[in-house]
Amino acid sequence: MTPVHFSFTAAFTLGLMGLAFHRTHLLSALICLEGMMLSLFIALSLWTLQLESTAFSTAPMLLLAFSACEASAGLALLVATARTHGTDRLQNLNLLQC
Amino acid sequence: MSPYVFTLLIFNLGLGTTMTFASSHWLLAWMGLEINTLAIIPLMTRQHHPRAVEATTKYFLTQATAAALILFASTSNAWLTGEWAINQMSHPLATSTIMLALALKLGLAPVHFWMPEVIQGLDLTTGLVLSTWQKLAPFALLLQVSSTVNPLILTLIGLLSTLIGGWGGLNQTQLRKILAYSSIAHLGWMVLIIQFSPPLATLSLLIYIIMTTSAFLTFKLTSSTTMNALATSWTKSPMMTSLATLILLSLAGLPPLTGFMPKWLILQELVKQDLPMLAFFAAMTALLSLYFYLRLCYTVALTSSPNTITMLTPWRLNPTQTSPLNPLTTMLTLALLPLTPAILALVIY
Amino acid sequence: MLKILIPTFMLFPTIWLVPGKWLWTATTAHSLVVASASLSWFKWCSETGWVAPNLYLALDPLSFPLAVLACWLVPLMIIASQNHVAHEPLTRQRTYISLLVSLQVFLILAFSAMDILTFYVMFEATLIPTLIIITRWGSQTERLSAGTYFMFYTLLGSLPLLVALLYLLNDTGTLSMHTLQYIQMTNPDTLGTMLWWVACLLAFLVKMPLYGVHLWLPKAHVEAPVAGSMVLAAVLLKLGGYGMMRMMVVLGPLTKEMAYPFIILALWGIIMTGSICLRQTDLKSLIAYSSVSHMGLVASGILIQTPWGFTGAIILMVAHGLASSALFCLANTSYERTHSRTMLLTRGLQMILPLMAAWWFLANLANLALPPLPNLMGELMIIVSVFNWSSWTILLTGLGTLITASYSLHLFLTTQRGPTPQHFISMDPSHTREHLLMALHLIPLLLLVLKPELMWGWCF
Repeated sequence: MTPVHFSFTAAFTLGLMGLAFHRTHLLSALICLEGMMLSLFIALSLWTLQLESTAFSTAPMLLLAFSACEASAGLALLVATARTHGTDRLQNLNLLQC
Repeated sequence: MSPYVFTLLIFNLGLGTTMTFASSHWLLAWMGLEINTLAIIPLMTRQHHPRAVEATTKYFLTQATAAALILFASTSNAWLTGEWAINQMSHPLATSTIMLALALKLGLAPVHFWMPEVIQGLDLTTGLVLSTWQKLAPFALLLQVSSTVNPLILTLIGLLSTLIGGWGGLNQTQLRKILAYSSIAHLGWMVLIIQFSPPLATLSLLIYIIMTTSAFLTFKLTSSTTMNALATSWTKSPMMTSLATLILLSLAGLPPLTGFMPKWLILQELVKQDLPMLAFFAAMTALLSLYFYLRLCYTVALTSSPNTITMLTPWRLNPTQTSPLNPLTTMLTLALLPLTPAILALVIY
Repeated sequence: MLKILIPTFMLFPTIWLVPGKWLWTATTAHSLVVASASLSWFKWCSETGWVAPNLYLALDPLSFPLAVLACWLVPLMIIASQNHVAHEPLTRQRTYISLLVSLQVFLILAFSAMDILTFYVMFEATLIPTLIIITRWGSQTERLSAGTYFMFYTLLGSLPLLVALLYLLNDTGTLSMHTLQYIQMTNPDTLGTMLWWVACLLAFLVKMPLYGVHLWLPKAHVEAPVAGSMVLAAVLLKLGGYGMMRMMVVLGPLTKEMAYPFIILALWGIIMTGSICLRQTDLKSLIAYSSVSHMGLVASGILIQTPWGFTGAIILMVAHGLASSALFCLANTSYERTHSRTMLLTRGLQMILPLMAAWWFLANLANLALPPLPNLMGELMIIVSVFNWSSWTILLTGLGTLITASYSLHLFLTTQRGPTPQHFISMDPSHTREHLLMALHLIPLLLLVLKPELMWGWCF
């Protein structure tokens, strides 16, 4: 495992851990998701840099674009949740349990 | 929702799945999955309703996590082996991670908890899309990576899904949750067989889609979402409710109906692979699911529930429009078993 | 085969297209025609032992008595249920008859299937119509739990059977009855093959039912409407015995040791269920338990695997099918008048319905195996062959016969003899329809005395 591989794996795992175990606010969940996506962005850009392959150079940009879309959809959902549930705490998302 | 936006979203929904189908590169497959998720989120929140929003949020979080995990695992695989193609995965850690991520996307057993809740928050049409069309893209990926995944993981996930799918539905009174658990159980059967015979898994997915479509459409016709509503639904469409009994028994997989076909073929394949005990346990877990289907059958047509009204009011309202798809899928749900050899010849050989 | 199957299929258009006024008449006539046409199966004279064989469907001396019985039962069920379904909406009456006819289709296909898997599918396919008949047309709320018991007991036994059959298919490459009898199974006594043996027979033993896994049967019988009880007692239980005889050919030498606990359980069950009958208060439940006791005899006759045992088993199955179905019809006639199945409340009916008492007498005599009747023939053959297997069994079978006689007489004396209770205010006289029904049950039974080789099975 190269240091680069280790660093983005660690970053991704940290993001995933935060998403899985720190379940207080929807916003923090979204930030963790964004962190995961950024670690992937780093991985893809370093792949391009390391192999010096121009064919792959659009991949990080595509990833960034998609993760931006995803983040905006998440933020929209955050607004919607705040309007319907009055808060963004994940504890309050309990209408559907039984 | 404006019809233009609606059309755009529907097309994007199709585009995402098609991209995943057509891609051989993990990044493209991931893009397809993302387009798919981003397109269905506005569709799910079409009614601005607390439950719809909550369901969408939960769906978004799980799907985004699963997609990120998939991309992460494939990037790791690329860093370790230099290979981006979907069907050339080789590193065991990466394939296991991808399997778990796909299980999360499909709603398979250890990571299935979002599925009943999300379906519960949606209307029946969106629920139908979620439990049929949305399964296709992850399933296509699963088909391609299944040969490289550790067989033990696949077997465990499959058996656990059939078990949990049967067990979880036992205590439910909400139809959409029951249908979600039935989806978990059926997908478990597919994962059980996918390592031995991918075409068979595809066939059982196809038949599951047909069966669940007719179940959802029938419930939509009588607009019932709980067992109580189902009990009084026979006044709305007596014919369809009496057929609903058979549809539910077909979902349960009882012999003269279509639902028996995938179970039969899967058990046969498992026995052929010298795994009779696994086949036995899988067959036994089907009994758990049968219990709640049977209970639904009792409420839908086999007992007439006490009514609060003395007259049959729904007779006088205009009947709801039957979807043209409903008679077709119902026919297929009930009478496909005698065609098994022909279907086998088309799909497998 | 198609000569019978196509007219049976054409019963569905008859049911749904005939004007409502003629529904019962037309369906009864049509199904009687089918039933009498099915008698032509008796005229088998082929050297191979199969009637009308092709790759998929054929009958042999083992299966055609039961197939004819299945065809014969349908007009009887239609006649029997005329009265209690008549007040329902027309569509539901049609649905009800359609379910009965679909049962006939599945039963004919089950008895004539050449492939064991086809037999299995049809065996399972009878579950759905029976379930709907029990839970939709039964009268008490307990019918739902009866339906659940029925489904789960049967499926718990038959899903292992499916796996076992697929295993056999994988092993031998065929499940056709033409070829399976030539396959020599050399089973080593490993745990796996023992489990396979149990899985092969468990479904049929549950369906029979064997004592110990019989709890679904009294429930289903008590809650089902009369046609459901009739078909359950007459034909559906026999699917179990028939399936066992078919599987016995395949199971090979393993049966010799493996059958011990099951034979003992079956023989013990004769005594236990007979004793339950002696203290039973519910009329239909008594008849149901008497079925369990008779089927215990059949199961032991099949499990010891002698020609006499097989012959006795099939004779007893056919005879018991007619006799117990007749008893259920009689129980229904008194139920329709007194609206009670409790034997304390339906006493002394001879004064009110004298001719019915004669039918009760005949049916009870058939049930307790009076000498010339085929019931006795079957029981004697089984008892003799089981005695030959081990002389100690005469204790169990002899005591069982004694108990059978006593509870049959108890049933007759309680329901028919004695003073008529005061609470019978007004009661319909017995209808011609009911007499016809009883005659159609008991005349075949009496005629079979004259030519029992029709149901001798393989020992012809």
